[in-house]
Amino acid sequence: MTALTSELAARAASLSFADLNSAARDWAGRAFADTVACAIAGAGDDMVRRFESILPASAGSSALLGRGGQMHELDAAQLNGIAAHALDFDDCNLEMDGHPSVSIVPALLALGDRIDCSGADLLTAYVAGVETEIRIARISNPAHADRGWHPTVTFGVIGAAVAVSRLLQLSPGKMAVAMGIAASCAAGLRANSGTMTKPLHAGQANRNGLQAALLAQAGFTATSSVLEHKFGFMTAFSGGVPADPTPALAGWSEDFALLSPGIAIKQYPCCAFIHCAIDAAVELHAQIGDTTILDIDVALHGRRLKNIDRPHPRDGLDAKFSTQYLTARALLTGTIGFADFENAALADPATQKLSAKVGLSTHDRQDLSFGRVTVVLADGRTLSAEASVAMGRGPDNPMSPGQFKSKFMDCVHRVLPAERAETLFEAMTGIWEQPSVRQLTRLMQPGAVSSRSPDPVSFSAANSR
Amino acid sequence: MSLSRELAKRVVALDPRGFDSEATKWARDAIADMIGCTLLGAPTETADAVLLRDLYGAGACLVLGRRERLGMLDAAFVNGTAGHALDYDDTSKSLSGHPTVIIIPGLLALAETRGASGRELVDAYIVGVEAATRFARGVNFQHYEKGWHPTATLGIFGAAIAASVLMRLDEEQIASAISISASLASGIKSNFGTPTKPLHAGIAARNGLFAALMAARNVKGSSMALEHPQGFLEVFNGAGNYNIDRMLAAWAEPLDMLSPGISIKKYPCVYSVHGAIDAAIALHQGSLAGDSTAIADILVRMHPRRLLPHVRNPATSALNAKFSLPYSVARGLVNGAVLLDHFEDQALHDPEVTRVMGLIRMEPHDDDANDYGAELVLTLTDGSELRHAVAAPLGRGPETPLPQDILRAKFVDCARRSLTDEGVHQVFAMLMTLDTLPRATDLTAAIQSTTL
Repeated sequence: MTALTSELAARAASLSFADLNSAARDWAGRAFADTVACAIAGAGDDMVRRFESILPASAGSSALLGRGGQMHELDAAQLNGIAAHALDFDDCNLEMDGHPSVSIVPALLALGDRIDCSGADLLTAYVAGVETEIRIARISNPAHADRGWHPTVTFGVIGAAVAVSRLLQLSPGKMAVAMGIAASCAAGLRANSGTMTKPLHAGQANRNGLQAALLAQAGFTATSSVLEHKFGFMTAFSGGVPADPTPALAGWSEDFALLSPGIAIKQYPCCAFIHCAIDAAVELHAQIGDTTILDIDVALHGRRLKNIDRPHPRDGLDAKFSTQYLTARALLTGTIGFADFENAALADPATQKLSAKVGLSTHDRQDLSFGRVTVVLADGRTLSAEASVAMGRGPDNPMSPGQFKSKFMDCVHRVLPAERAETLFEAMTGIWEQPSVRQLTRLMQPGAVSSRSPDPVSFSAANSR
Repeated sequence: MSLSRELAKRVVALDPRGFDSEATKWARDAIADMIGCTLLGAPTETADAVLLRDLYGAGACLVLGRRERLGMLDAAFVNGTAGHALDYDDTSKSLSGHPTVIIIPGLLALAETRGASGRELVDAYIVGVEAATRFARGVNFQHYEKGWHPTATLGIFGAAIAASVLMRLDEEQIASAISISASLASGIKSNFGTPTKPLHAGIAARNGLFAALMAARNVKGSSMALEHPQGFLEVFNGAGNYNIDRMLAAWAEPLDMLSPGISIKKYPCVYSVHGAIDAAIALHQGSLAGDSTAIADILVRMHPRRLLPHVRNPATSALNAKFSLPYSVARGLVNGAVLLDHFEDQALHDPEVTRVMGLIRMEPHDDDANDYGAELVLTLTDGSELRHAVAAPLGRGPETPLPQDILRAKFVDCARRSLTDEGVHQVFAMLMTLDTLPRATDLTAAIQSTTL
C-alpha cells in the first residue's frame, strides 16, 4: 500500500513559492483575501462574542480580525475561525464539498502574526494546505461527505495542520505526525448545519490544526500513516482506503486543485448549493414583473437536497440553508444580500407567502451544481431558468475584479474606515509581495494603526520562542 | 422527539439526594485515583509538550502537579492529557474506555471557578458517568470496532453533561450541550501507542467543558444532532449499529457506577495478572508475614485466556516485565506491592525476586465462568502448603470492593512524583472525604501548596 500520508507530506513540505504559476498565485491570493474579508465581516457576530466571553485574558501577539486586540495564536485562530464562518459567506470547493480556506487562513494568520513571516511564505503555506486537503477529499468523497461529516472541517483540520507545518518549515516526517494528530481531532457533523454550532466547527479546525503542528514541532508523536492506517482516518471517516491514491498524489505543482475545478468565491452569503437556484430566480425576476406567481418548482440534484430543504427557516442562520426562502426572496427582489438574513426580511409577509409556493424536486442530470427554477404565473405563462454554479464563482467563471472588490468592501466596510479598507484591499491583492504579516494584520483591525506596535526587541523575542 | 432532549430530560430527572452512598464511595475512589494518575503524568514530556511553552494565559484553575494556574479550558486540556499519559487510570465496562479522566478535568476547573463544594463535584461526576455510560450502551461495542476511541468520542458527552449539571443548566441547555458535543467528538484508534492517545483525553475534556460553556450562553446545536441522517449515530456507527432504546432505558436503576461499575487499575502492568497479584499480596501480608524466603514452589491457576504466551514469560526487560505474570507475582510475594519503580530497568535484577520468579508454574483452570480470578498454591521448604484464591481482581467492580489501603498504595506511588510526602497523605485524606469538603478549591490549594 502507498504510504499516502508520507507521500502527501513530502509534496506539501517541499512546495515553494516558485512552484506557484501566476494563475495559482493570483487565485490563491483572491481566496485568501476573500476569507479575510469574511472574517472581518463576521467579527461582530453574536457567536464570536459568546465565544470570547469564555476565554481567559491572554497575552498574545496574534490579531483579532475586524476588532481590536490580540490573543495567543491558538485562541486567536479559533476566534477568527468562528468569525470567518459565521456568515457562511466564505469560499467553496466542489471536490471537498465544503469550504477550503476557512479552516486554514485564520490559523496561518494567527501564527504568521506571531512569527511575522512574509506574505509569500504565508501564501505558499496556504497553497500547501489547500492542495493537501482537497486531494484527500478527492479520494474520500462522495462517501465521506455523504456520511454526514462536515468536510470543511474534517478535511480542513488536516489542511490547517499541513499549512501551519509548512509555515514552520517542518520536515516531511514531522508534517506527517502533525497530520496524524490533526486526524485525531477531526470532528463536525452536517446535522448541525444551520445552527450556531456550524461556525464553531471552523474555530475548532483552526485551533486543532495549528495545535497539531505546534505539537509536532515540539517533538510530540502520532502515527505517521494516519490516512491509510487500518484504524485510521480514511477507514474511520469514509469506510475504507481507496485502492488508487494517484489522484491525491499526481500533478502537484502542475495541476493545482485550487484552479481546477478550483476554489469558488461565493457571491451570495448563503449555502452554495442554492446559488444555482438564486441565479435562475434572479434571471426570472426581470421577466415576471408584477405578475402574480401561482406556483414555483426548484429542481436540484438529489444529493444536495438533504441539507437545504427548510421550508420554514427559524432565523437568519437557518435561512442560509432554505432553498424555499431564498428562491422566493430572489424572485421577489432580484438579488440576495446580507439584509435578506435579517429578521425584517424573514418576517416579510409577501416573501413568506411566496415561499410557501415553492416545491422542491430532483433533476436527473449528472451536474451536481445544476438547478432549474420553474414558475407558473397567473397570466398563464410558465417560465423556466437554469444555472449551474459550482459552489460560487470559480476560475472558470470568476467575478470581475470590480465585482470581487465590491464583495470585499461590503464585508469590511462596516468595521474598517474607508481608507483602511482600500489600503487593505490593495495589500491583499498582492499579498505575496508583503514583507510583514504583522503589518498586514494591522490593516485588518479598526482603530489607530499605531495602537499595537510592540518595539522591535519584543518582536524578535516573540519570534524566538 | 429530540434524542438530545430525551437524554437531557433524564439528566434533569436524576436526583443526587437519592444516590446510594456506595455510589459516592466509588466516585471518591475513582476521582482520587484519577487525580493520582494526573500527578503521575504531570512531570512527563507529554504534559510538558501540551503546555506549549507557556503559551496560555494565566487563570484560576490549577494544572495539577505543576504549580501553574490557567483558564478553565486550558487547565482541563492539560490535566486530561496528563491524567491519561501513563494509561493507568480507571475504566468503565459500559463505556469501553476511561470515564473519569474525561469528566473530572473540566469539572474540577469549573468547580474551582465557581467555588463549588466537594459534594456538588461528586454529584455532577456521578451524573456525568451515568449519562456517558447510558449513551455508550446504545452504541457499543460497534463504536469501538469502527475505529473510534470511546474514551474521547463517548466520554465527551459525560464531560459536557457533568459540567452542565454543575452549572445547573436547564433541560434545553443540556440538550444543546449534547448536540454541540456531537460535533466536537473526535479520536481514532490509529494513534494508540503514541502520546496522541492521551491527547485525545485532554481534547475531549476540554471540548466537553467547552460545549457546556457554550450551551450556558444559549448557543444551540441541532435538536436532531444525534439521530439525524447526518447525525452522530449514523455518522459514527452507521445504520443498524446502534440502539436508541438502550440509551434511554433504566437510568439509575441502578446507577451504572454500581452495576457493572468502574474498574480501578491498581498495578502498573497488564490487567490479566491483577488477580494473581492480589492473591500474592494477600499471602505476603497473611501467612508469609512478609517473608518469602521459605517458598519452595508456586502454582498459579488462571483462566486459559489470561495465560497467553507473553504473559507466561519471565521478565527480561523493563518492557516485557509489564506483561510477565511470573515477575509481577514474584514482586507481590516478595514485596507485598507492585509499584511503578518495579518496572524500571534497575529493578529487574533483585536476587530474591529472580529466585521466586523461577519457582512459578502456571496451569489453566477449567472454570470458564471464572475469567479474571486466580488461585495461588505455595509449597514451603517445610512441606506445608498455603493457598489463596480471588474470584476477580479487587476493585474490578462493586462485586469486589477495593480496600482503601490498596487504593492508597497506588495513590502514594503515583502522587509522590509531584507532591511532598506530607502532601501525598494530606491530599489523599481530603479525597477520601471529598463529598464533605466545603470547597473544591481547598483540594487544589492543598495540591498546589505541596507540589514539589
